[in-house]
Amino acid sequence: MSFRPIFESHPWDDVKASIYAKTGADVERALAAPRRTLDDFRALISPAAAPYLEQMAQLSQQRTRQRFGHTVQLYVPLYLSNECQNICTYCGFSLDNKIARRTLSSVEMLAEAAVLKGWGYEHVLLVTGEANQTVGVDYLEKALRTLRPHFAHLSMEVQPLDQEDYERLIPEGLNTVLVYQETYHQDDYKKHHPKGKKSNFHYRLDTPDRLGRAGIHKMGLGVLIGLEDWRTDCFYAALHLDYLERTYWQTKYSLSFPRLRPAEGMLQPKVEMSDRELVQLICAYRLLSDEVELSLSTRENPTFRDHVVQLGITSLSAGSKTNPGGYAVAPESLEQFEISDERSPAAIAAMLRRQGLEPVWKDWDATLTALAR
Amino acid sequence: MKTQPLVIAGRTFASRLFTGTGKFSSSALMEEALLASGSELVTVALKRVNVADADDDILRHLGHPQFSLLPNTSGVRTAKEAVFAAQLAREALETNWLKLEIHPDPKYLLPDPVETLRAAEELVKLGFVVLPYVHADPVLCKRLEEAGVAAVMPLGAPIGSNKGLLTREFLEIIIGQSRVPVVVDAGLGAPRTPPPPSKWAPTRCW
Repeated sequence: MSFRPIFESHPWDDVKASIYAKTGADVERALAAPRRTLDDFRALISPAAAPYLEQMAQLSQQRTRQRFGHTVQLYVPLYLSNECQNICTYCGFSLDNKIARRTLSSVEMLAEAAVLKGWGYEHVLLVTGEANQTVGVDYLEKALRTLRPHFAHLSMEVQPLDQEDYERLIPEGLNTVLVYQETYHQDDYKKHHPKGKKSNFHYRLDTPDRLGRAGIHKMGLGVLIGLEDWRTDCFYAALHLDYLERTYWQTKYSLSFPRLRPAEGMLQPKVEMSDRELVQLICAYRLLSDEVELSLSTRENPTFRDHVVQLGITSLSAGSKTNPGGYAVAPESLEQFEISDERSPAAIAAMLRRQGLEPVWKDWDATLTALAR
Repeated sequence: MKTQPLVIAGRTFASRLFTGTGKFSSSALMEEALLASGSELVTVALKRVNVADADDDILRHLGHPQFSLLPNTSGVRTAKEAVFAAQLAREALETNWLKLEIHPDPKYLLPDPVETLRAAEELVKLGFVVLPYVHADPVLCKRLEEAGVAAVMPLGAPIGSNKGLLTREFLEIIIGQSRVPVVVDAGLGAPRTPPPPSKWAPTRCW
């Protein structure tokens, strides 16, 4: 069992055409539906939905508050390594980028962790490049063992692993894995990932299935917006989510929608997504699912984040550094990408409070993960 | 909601309203709302509080003598996890009262009846005052009652759905045959939701 047959039964060009063929009547039908389908979602992300943005935003806000209350979860990335064996056209850590490489030791991880703890963080996302020799499963296991005593909730955004690797890491405190397909367009995927393990489109596509079979508590999906037509790519992310929710029903899901940011040596985005279009996407995801978590990183600028946090977002990062050692050990090293919102976690928390939202620093307990297996 | 006193496990409550703590826009507002409600039993998710922190923001705002904390096991997926979490909660919050929540389904947070019954049996033996969150399933509620739970907490509608008493027919059966208090737990929504029929009132939680 895997997502692949479903994916292959939805040819890219057909999906794209069906989205762009949607009309205002389709959008109105979708907005009025008590439970929305993937076909409704096509209407809500279509150009035809643009005039309905205000209505979508109001509905999205209402659904989010009803399900999640007046709260926003805060998390922070902790970059452990910029070693990478992949060539990705959009990433500062790409193998062909001549930058100083660094992988944090356990002592350095703890120095970074101390800064994050000082800011109040309990939910931390561990990030590495994809380099099996230096940051393979042994390294990740060591990282989890080092950091687990200090945080309530540990997530990872690292190279896709085999099922048995995930099964090994979950008892070590791994709660959540983020794995973005980047793009569901196979030909473009190949162009953007010409070398390294990541060039295997299907291994990446199958990763959420391996995670589900391993019994991961939560996984995050998404595409990198800017590589291909965002509406079509995001439909596939929704299709993937729909399949996963039906198949791995004990797993929780989150969605992200990172827009390409400038990075050392990267190509310019092929497709630009406007702020209004990103709001449309966020609202469309919420109207498709009341329950899915929607996450927004510091890739987005303060003004945009301050506004959109009311419209469906359930988790935010703050104070992020995208270079290994960026918080304490080596603040000047090269970042994976430039962030746009440089406000401190305390400033973000204050912004949320001003908007009548409670910043949530802890919504898990490490002891619960300890029993997950 | 002050009518005839509610008695659970030998303890009398003047208010029949139990309150949660998870969705407020600030802990100060939560405190204000809970005080205004007259509620005496306040549920707290173990995963949301930092029990090692004497200054935990949520717990700090719940330190009123009229509030008794009802820790819940939200987040656990099995009976084994629930029993472990219950023991942690008892240790940390110094109460043997427990709202037993086992929902392996993180989407709708629907309770697992099999694991809930298993956990309830174990927790009662361990001396907990168990209030399980369950479907409005009359047979399950009787099985839990036989296991020794202090009350049953059937859902009125899916959590967070604000749909009121969708399970009314089944709740009436549960109330009609229950020997322990029945606390309708989830999905009720805003105060505008029509109150339950008066015939429910005298002897049960309602």
